[in-house]
Amino acid sequence: MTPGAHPRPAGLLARVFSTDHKVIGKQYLFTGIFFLFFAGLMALLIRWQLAYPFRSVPLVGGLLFGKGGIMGGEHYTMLFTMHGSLMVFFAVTPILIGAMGNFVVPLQIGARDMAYPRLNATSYWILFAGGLVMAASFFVPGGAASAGWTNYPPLSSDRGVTLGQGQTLWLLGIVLAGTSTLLGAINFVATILNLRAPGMTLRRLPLATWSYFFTSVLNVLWVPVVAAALILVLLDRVAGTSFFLAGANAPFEGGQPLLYQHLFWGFGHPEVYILILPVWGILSDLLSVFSRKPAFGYRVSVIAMAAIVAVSGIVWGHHMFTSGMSPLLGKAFVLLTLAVSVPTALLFLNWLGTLWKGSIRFEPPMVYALGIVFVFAVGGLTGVFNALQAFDIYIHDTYFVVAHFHYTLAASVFLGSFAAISYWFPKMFGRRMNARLSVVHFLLSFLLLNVVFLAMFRMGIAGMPRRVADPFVYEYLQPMRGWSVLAGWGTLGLGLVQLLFAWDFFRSLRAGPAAPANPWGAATLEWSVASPPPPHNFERTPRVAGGPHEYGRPGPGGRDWVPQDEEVSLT
Amino acid sequence: MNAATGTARLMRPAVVYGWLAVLTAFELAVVRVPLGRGATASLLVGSALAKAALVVLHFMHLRIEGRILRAIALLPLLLVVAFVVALIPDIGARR
Amino acid sequence: MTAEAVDLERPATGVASGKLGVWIFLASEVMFFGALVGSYLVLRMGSASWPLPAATLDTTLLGINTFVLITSSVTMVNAVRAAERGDLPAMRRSLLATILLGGTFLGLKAFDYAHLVGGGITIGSSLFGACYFTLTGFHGLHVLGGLVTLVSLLLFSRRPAFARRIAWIENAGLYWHFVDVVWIVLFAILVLL
Repeated sequence: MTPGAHPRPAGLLARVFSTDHKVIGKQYLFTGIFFLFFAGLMALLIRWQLAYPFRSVPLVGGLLFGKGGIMGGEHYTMLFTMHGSLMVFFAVTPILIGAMGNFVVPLQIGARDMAYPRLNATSYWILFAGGLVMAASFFVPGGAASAGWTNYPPLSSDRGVTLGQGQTLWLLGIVLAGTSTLLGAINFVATILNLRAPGMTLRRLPLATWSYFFTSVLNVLWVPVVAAALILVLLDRVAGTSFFLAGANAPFEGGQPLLYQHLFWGFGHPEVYILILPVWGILSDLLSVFSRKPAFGYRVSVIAMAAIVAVSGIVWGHHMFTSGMSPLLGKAFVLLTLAVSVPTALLFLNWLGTLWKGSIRFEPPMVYALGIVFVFAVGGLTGVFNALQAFDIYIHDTYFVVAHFHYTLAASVFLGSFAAISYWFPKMFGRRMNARLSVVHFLLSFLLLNVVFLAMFRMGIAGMPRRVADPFVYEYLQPMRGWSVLAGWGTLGLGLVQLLFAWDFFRSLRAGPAAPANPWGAATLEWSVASPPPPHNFERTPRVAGGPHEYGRPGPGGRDWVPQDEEVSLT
Repeated sequence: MNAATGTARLMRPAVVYGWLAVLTAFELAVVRVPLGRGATASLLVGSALAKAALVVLHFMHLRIEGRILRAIALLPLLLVVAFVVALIPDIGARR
Repeated sequence: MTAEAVDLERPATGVASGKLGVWIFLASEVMFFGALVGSYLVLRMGSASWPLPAATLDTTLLGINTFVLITSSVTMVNAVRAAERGDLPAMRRSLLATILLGGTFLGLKAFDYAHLVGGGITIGSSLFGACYFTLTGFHGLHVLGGLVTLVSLLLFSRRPAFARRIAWIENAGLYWHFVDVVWIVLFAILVLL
């Protein structure tokens, strides 16, 4: 071992504050799963309230909301705010980028670790601190943040008059999570650019690694913008400024609430691509592995992702069609948003091309992957509706929008996380999960998430507003009660099905059958080392000789693929 | 390190320093002469860009760096300019 | 040869990882200051009245401060060149000069703040005050961060391990120059305009 390489984890302290990307990846994974569970429980409470407004919450109501167990409007507001914030920043980002990215990227490019291992550990612990701040915000006077995950001023910057100190802690927690993401992203970009093994040219990068590169570029560029916006809100709350306050409540003239919306969505729209790009990249690779065919249109896929990255930064205004934004900007944003559907459709067609006439193996990761292809097709189409200004004005701030981003983003990311976990679980932990349970988990999850989100689309079309504790005070929504009850019970079912996955996951950690180095017959570099990989990943730096998707090519011993680090003989 | 071989293509630090000092003095002078808002603003922005370019190209060696670092430096600048321009009709022109 | 040795000696882009990381970080800093400065610009354009900064601020003092920071960039260049020549004593002298100049900048900045607050201009008094204190405040924090880095490097340069970390001086220099560039922009469009 050279001096300056990782010291061998000696004590508990060295193990906890490890700089090994594989350990940090697992830390992110468990943190993310914890918050996924936590924020998922909030979703259950939200759906209960919407199904049976202001009826006593069974079992936990008394504990959470005091005598009678009835949730108040203020509790409801806190719940949907924290559900969204925790899911986006503390569950999805850590699982898909923090855990999977950290674990997979160095292995896939043939590196020993990330470019900056200590910075990597720092990123995780900053996220951890942010998580503590978010958790603490439930226990301060006035309760947790309740201005929505979008945190619009003037509501959010109102100086403690209507909202409690939880709002200030929320700002702090999100800025910490953002800092963690940003430092992680710098690490990913530098790692993917610089630490590729000899022969691992950009054209040989697996599409998953490409997607982590693009996602990280977006993070480096746009997280600082939202950080600036949130810091200005923080100053409005605590330092007496009024960047985003106007009118009688403002200490001085000239602040503009709308500026915040521009800054927030300037980040906020790239953020949806930040979350979903890794899913697309992983999906592209998985479809290739389990169709035993090269990924169709590899270069087009990379170019399409690059185009999405480029355009995603200039479409944010489609979140603001009803904000009183200048009409001049509105038209430009409609056109630009519609333009995003071109590269997205190319990616989608490439997935179909990969599947076409493939020898499809219905292993658990593939089953999840096929589910993503379906929800992304339906969800993506609803996005085209939202992009049209005239339609958006009708459905804005209704459940149609909530259903759209849950169906497209949440469902894709949710299934994507399971696809990634079930695909790399053997590599991460050296054991295998139960394939049959995973497939059952997928089928039930897929069915139930369609029940929940399609019911939400239906309520949205009827004009049900989001963020209202009891929408049924409006007479015209009475016919929607049945759908809301259906969505409520669907969510409960979806929650229960996740226990199946959790049980399988934690049981397999200890008792799953031992995994071979390459259980899927995959060509990328992470499968060329033992499961789990040795501390320094590769005994010798691999020499990469081929592309990431060399499937369906006869090899020695009846093998139908060529590993990336193997020279192809032409005989 | 390419800095050692390429430094010949950089201005000497003393020369850069001289230009930075002259431009700063120029800026301080411009605001003391009544030229009108537009002219003053253009001169100040032009001078600031020149100074920033001097520091970035010669002190931060971007002049002799490869394409990757140039791209990393240029991309956010373009985005920031585009972003601010997009905000002008909505925020800047609102009074 | 171990894998790490390969990684460090042959970065795939030809740019050392440390330097690459600093540049990526600076790209994110451009976006951060870009958002702050951009917000200031559009808020100012949209605001009905704006005090003439030249009448409010001590432009002479801030002009001197600009010279101080520019000079510190030159001493930083000298430190990097000395480090590359392997002339550690000269490097330490230049680093010390940079630190003293950076400290002077912050001292004069504090004087400037006291002068403003004494005149009734605070972060909560007007949009001008809010923008001025927020933007220069974040710049000041970056100067402070740079000073902490430079002092640590100066102390670290006495240790034998420093010999393998000469590049850190160059990387710290990149950051220091960037902070200088931010001030150059702020001086023109916030202090003088």
